[in-house]
Amino acid sequence: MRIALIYKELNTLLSSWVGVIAISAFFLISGLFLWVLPGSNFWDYGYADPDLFFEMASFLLLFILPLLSVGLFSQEFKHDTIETLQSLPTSMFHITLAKFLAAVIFCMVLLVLAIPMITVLNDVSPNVPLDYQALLGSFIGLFLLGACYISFSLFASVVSEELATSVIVAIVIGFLFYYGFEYAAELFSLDDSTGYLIRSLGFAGRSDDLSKGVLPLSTIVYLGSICLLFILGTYALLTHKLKSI
Amino acid sequence: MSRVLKIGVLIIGLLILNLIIHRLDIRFDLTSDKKYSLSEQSKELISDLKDPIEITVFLDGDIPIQFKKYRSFIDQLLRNLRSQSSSIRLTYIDPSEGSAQERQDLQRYLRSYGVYPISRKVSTKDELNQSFLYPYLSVSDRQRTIFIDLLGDKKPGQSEQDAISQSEIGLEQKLNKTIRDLKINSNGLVGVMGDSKKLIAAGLNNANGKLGNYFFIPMDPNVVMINIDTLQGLMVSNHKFEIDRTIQLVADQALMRSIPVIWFIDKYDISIDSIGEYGQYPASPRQLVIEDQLFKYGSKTEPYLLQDLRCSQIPQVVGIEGGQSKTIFIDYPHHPVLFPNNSVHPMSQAEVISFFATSVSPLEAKPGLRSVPLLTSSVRSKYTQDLRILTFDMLRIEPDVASFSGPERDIAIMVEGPQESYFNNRLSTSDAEFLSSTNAEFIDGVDRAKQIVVGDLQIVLPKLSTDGSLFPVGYNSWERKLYRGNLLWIAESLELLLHGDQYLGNTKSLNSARIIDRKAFDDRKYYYYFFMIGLPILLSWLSTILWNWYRKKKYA
Repeated sequence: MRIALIYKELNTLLSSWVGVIAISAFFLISGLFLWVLPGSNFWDYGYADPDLFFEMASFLLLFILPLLSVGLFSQEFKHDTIETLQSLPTSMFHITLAKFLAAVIFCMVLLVLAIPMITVLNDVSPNVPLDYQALLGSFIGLFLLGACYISFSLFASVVSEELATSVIVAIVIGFLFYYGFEYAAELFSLDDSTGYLIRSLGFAGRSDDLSKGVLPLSTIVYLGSICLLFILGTYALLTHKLKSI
Repeated sequence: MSRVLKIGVLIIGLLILNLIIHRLDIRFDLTSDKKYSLSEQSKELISDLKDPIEITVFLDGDIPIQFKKYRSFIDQLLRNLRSQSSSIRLTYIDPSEGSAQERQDLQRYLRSYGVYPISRKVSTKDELNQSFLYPYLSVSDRQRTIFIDLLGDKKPGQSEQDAISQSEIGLEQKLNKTIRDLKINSNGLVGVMGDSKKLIAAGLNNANGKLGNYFFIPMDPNVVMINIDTLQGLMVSNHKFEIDRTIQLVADQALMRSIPVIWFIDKYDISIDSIGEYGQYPASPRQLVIEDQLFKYGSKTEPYLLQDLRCSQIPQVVGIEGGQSKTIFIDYPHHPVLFPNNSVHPMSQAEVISFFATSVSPLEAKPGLRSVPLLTSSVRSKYTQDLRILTFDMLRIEPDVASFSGPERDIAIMVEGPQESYFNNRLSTSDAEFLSSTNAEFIDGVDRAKQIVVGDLQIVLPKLSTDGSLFPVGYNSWERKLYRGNLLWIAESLELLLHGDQYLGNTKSLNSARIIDRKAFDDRKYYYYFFMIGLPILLSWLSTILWNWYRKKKYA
């Protein structure tokens, strides 16, 4: 896999107006909910701990990251540039991986932009220092969740050439993973051990750990496995589609 | 290998890997104080569980945001416990869910355990509503259920946020203690002797929760002596000048047999009703016969009444308004609100109501004895040394705050160590006859005796309602408020006496809570809004514009 491939994809993402609108939406919505609107803000929460931000961000990214990354393949199909990609002296798997990594780097850029919030949290509770170790853990956790959402978007971008359809598919998959298992366990009133197992497949409970700076190895491996499966799924669907062109 | 097979192998491989890692249960708690990790004591305790334990969370449903962090902490802690043992079952109950009948049934069930909701005002755009919240956990095994009051440690004047943070720190320890209580499954018998023994036993037997481990039996001294080997503990109450000598002897011999004793004594026989009825009441301390015995064991009761600005209130009629008497509630320093002393043993920090209490102090000269304060007044307390006549006049004027200069006074202390019998060299013929009639031998000393001396009998005495039924122990009929701390304190004191060596001292030292300085935030509100919302948006737009400009320039 060539670095140039990642650079090319990152270049596209960084210059995309959709991307900047999505980032703006992320900070505007999270900022309004966390600092301005009553009921869910830090003011009512009472604590200057970043876990409230991470909880909200892990949910918001479910909608924002698909907006940023569903164009990765669907746009190639739409503008017939997929054939150009095919002609490159590199495998389709490497191209898939490059697109995924470029989107992941872009996600990191988005998270870096949240750093001013940390300064404010330090400022409004000056007597007790912020737990930077926990903060690092929370960032790693959010990044892992973000990588999963991107793998869903990547897969969705192959499912349809239509951007809107791809966005919906990506959000639905993300939503199923976030809340679906939780709802399923509740809906079928599953007994404790089965219910516990089903719930543990969802992201909602896991993101609770991650937002506090707790990284269970099982969550890291689970999220990594989901990413891998969806990247491989993307590759399999892509090659299948290309064969039929 | 076909593609389908490869995918199948990969999925199965990932599944197995996930299962193995899940079983290994490795977690990286990156918080600097490891506050989301279980202590070794907890792990040990949980891994030893054989019978299923069900933990039920009642803080569920639409909870206010102030409790969100705490609830999340509880979830984390319970998940950690659950991951340690499959014997732990977790249940969440939203008390506001279900039909009206179901909600009422649940409320009745909770009330039977002394569990009452806290009310909160919820303001919406158009109206002000009241919502109820149950900040409780219950821990049950097959036989018993014990409730944990999540906000039980809240002190007067303490903000809810501080109380929540405080409670977070002690929650794991509380859970440990409760699970251990269930495991001990003692079902011990505790004898009650002395004044008002039937009322005391009835009040304690009515209580559920931790006291459900014990059965309190009002007993005459000869019955105690005959059954002494079956008793786990003994309670002795005294508010009359005279006390049956056989009670003293039996309590002494119980101590000599290493059976823990709790003494409840009232040096002043005062009630508000008496003052209300006669307008004044002569308040003079009585030298109780039993005090001499306690002195021998290493503790003495002070002759002065305690007054404390941390106190409960009484209603007073202050005039007539609209043809009806106008009543207001006024702080009454003779009804101090006490707190368990946590300096040596961890105890729940719940308010304990007392009425006309006197303090108890250890005798320093007794060698080998160790004394531990268990219940203390606030630092804003004082002794009423010159008080002879008690009236309500004190309520007409503001208390002289400067005179309440402390220090904290102990209302209950635990004394443990070697003891010599109070009846050594003074055993009368009738004492000897009494012992022989119960087939008991006289024992003149013991290496280790444990006892608690409490300077207020009212702490454990339930009040009678007008229809003759009993109010719960700790119920203050003047305020119509239940002080849950009374029962909790009695239960924990009993635990301390009976299983003190197993007390788990695993309180973590956690970082203080990062409570928002609202003034600092208000002063720079708009600057912060820009910094958190405007700046990231501005930076993202700026970088995209610059990036596009650079690309155009490069590829033009």
